[in-house]
Amino acid sequence: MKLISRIRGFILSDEPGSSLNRKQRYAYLQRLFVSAAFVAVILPLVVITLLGFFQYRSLFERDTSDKLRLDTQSAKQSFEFHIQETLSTMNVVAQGYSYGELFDQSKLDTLFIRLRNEYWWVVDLGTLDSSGVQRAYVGPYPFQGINYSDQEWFQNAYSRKTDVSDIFTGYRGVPHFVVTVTSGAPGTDRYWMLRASINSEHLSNYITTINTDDSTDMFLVGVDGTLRTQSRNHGKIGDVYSMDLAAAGNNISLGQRDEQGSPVIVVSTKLEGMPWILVLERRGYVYGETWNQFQMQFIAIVVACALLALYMMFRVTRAMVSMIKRADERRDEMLAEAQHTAKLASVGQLAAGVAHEINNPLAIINEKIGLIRDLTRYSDDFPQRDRFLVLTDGAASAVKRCKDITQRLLGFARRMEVEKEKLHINDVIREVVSFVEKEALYRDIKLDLVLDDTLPRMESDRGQLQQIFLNILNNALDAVEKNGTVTIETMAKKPRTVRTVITDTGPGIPQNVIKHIFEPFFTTKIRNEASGTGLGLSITYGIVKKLCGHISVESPPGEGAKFIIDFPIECDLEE
Amino acid sequence: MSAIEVLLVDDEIEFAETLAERLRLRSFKVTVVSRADEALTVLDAGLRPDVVLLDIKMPGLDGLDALGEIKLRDPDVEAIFLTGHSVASSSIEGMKRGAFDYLMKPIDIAELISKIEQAAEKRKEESGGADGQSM
Repeated sequence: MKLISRIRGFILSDEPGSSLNRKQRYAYLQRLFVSAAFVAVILPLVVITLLGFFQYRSLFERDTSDKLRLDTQSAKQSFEFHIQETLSTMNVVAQGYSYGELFDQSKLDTLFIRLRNEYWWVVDLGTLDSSGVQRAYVGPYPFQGINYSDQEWFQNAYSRKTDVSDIFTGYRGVPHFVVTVTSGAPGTDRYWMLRASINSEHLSNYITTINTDDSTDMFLVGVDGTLRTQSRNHGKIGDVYSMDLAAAGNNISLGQRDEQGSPVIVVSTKLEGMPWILVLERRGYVYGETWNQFQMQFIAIVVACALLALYMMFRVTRAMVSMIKRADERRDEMLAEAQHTAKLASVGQLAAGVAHEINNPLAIINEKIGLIRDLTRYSDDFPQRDRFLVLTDGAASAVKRCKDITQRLLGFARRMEVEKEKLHINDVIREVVSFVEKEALYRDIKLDLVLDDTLPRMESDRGQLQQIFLNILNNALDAVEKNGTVTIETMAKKPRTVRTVITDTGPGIPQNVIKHIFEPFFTTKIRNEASGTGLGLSITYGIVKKLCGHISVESPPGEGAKFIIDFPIECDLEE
Repeated sequence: MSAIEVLLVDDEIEFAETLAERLRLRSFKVTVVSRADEALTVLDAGLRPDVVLLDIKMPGLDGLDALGEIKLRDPDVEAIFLTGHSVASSSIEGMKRGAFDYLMKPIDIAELISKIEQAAEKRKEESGGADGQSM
């Protein structure tokens, strides 16, 4: 609103004394318009673009996270089933043996072979008594008789009946984990514990088997936050995983970015009965290609729209500013013309006053001179009569010249009676041309008439129209050299106006002269020439105004002068 | 033929007296007054000029109004306006009110004499005709 009121104020305040000149003002106005249009068009476009962008991105994120969650769920079930199945099988098979048989080395051998048939990844198998001593053992290591009572897995299994341990290197120096089933009451003679160890490599292999999506990194993290299986993006077993999974139940993390700026979506879940967290990490959205394409197209469309809008804003504001400029110029012209008219009117009033004031004493001088002449003439014995008569004739001729001037001055300033009639302007022009064509012929000046014979008749005063055209034609003839041309054109103008244009091929009128050309006594002719009083064009101006017309003059540099005279078809000449 | 009698009414005394003298040199009988009310007074006193020369702009009663008053006293008298400023509308108004003609100052004596003679001729004809009708 502030911007609009500023523009409004700016357009309206073209007062003199404004701190900016016209050119600066238009430039400033254009900047204001563009800013306003920018606020009105580009900002909403940007807002809508951002909204659309984020909305679409969140859709992709949701799709991707939904798929990842499903994958995670499926992997979790598969993983849990895989381990639980081993545990259950160990339990069922062990239940088929008596307490004593389980501690029998040969029986355990058979059991191990049966187990390996199904679960080839089991590395070894051992039976422990309640004191933690491994009393029977099948496997590649010499671990029979070792006491495991201080091991964490032993204590967990002792208390929970079954246990899947975390991965550790232990006595064998190879990363592995232990699955344990127990039977009997702890601390009694019949208590036994069957343990099998599996290399952690198996877990990595298993993950590779169930993870069929190349863009998803699936791995296990221990409760201490280090990797339990190899990760594509986070390193090898034992490396610290950068994300905090402390709250790891089921967890989804969105909104992260990798080094390349791709979105990173992570879903993690705690594996039931195991000390691990299953993590699925995906870089890029499920429909990544579509998203990339969409981004490119979206950016291209938005940029194209913005550029188009900017271009249109620029064009439209430039057109608006130039309209304002033209309106200003028209206003200036009208103002200048009004000032000119007012000036001429006041000059006319002054001229009339002066003429009137001079006329009365002039009349007295005239009569005195007349009386001297009369007395001289009527006296028989007047000495030097002839010389006196010559002197008084000279004085009378000077009075006559003064009278002519005062009459012309009054003619400029004052209304004269008019004889209204319906006439064709072309007829008047032809009559006037007939007055001057002889002179033109003698001086080898061509008179070109381009008259529109379809013009309507107009109401005006024939004699005064003749005076106008004669005056301008005489001026034109004075201006052109031998072989020059004076062209007179008539044409129709709206509204209901007849235009006459008189153009000459003379030297033109300097701009500083044009300003004064209709003022009384302004002349460029040498004083002693005929009719060089400087009243001709001012009288013409007065008559044109009286006939409801308008006269203007143009003189482009290097061309002749062009007088343009417009008359309305109807004019209330009585006013 | 008796001399034409002229009443000259103009507030520019210098002008009026000089013009009167020139007319007298040409055998006109001229009475000069400087104000319209003085003209009415001399008419009331019995002066019957053939032609009245009237300035339009005068202090007091102006030429146009004075013409009306003069015509009341002598309907057949002819008037010629002498005006210092070519206000055509005033002159036309004068013509409408029954003036014989008008002339612009400074005047040409020959033109003035011609107009006076024409006016006097007209008056003579009209008063003769009227006399004829009344007989």
